Amino acid sequence: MVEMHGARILAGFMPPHVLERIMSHGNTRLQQCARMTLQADAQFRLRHASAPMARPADSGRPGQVARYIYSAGNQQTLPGNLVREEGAPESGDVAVDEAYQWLGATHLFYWQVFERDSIDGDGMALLGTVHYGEDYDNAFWNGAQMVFGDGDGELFNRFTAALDVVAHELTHGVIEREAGLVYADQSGALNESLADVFGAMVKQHHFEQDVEEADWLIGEGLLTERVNGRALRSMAKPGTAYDDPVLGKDPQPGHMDDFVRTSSDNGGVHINSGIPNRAFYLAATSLGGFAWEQAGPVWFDALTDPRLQRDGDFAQFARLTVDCAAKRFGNDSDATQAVNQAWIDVGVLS
Amino acid sequence: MNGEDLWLESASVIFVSREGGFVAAPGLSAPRKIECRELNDYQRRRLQAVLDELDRHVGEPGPAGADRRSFRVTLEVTAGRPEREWELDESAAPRLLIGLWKRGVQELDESGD
Repeated sequence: MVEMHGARILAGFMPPHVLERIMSHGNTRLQQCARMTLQADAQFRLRHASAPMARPADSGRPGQVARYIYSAGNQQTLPGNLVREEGAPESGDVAVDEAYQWLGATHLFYWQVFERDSIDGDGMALLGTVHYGEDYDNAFWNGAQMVFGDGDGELFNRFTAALDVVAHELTHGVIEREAGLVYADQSGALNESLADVFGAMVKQHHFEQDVEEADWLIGEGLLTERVNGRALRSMAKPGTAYDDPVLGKDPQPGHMDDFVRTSSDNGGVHINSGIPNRAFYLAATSLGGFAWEQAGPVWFDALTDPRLQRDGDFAQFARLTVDCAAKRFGNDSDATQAVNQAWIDVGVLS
Repeated sequence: MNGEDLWLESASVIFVSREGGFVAAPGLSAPRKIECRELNDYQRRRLQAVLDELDRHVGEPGPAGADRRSFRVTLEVTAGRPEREWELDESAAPRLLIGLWKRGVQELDESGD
């Protein structure tokens, strides 16, 4: 058991990022406990490690995507059975073919706009599993691949239906490789926001939408007609994506004055991400044109900047974006001013 | 199970909720409140067995990645003062716990685990 915040006893699963945070911020006794637990974790991983799956081949040529789409067959075993691989014709399975297409669109975006070759920048194979679980209302990144549920059909459609969702999950892989942002509290919300920001840009890039044409919604098309909502998140107006008797009301804030302090969802990583999401929206729309021309490269520069710490908070990232904008476009450029003003408008910078 | 000491008090209250995931909508956490005073001896022992199972996961590493869903289980004896709290990834959650969260205490009556 580890005592947290001196107020309660929290036992059970303790994510490594929490332990790492305790090691860097806790008192001496807590640091010792955390260190011992991390050591035990490492031993546990070794004992329980199953034979690693032989990963399929990465891309052999710079900028060439290597996709492998599996079906879990409504079970929860990964990666499942390989259904379609790079260059193979359409399978006829909608979820398989959507995953294939959207992973391709995401890879193309990163390569064309940032000259980044896949998740690791070195042609890493893109693995996606569809038909995960039964009526599974989720999509996630597991550190090695992307996973998509079919949705329950009542509230949610299949999670491959939305390009930005697929791009969001792939981007978690990029973030993990680049900044390794700790998935909790502000760094976790920043992690989530970056996945949304690049997910939105991939969608805009694919459909050739400028900042005025874009809907700035995340997960548009996921909700069935029974749900009172347009999407899961709104980057333009956080907190307005849905208001439904079953789902509840979109809890995202768009300003630091409304920052939500909570222990659930790793400290509200999917809630407070609304604040940096809105900062990107404000910067991009202020600059006009295509989001990936000015605001996008600034955010990408900051994400890949070695100064971005694993537990970086909103303010650190904001200052980095301003610095990156100045380096790329100049101190007195419209881009630098727009980025700075966007963070002021959401209350992160003053 | 019957031979084990029953440490779960009748005053105990258990809360189970699911959180996180790409969706992370507040309504989907669907917190479930289970008051031990309303359980018979058999149900209370089965509930206790679930909590004992959670204890066996203490110290295990959490999964890598992002947008994963997890279950949070909180034990209170005095209202508003959590005595213990467990959080675990849904892939590690006991089937009975998931059933409790989905269907409530009737799950404790069903045979098997």
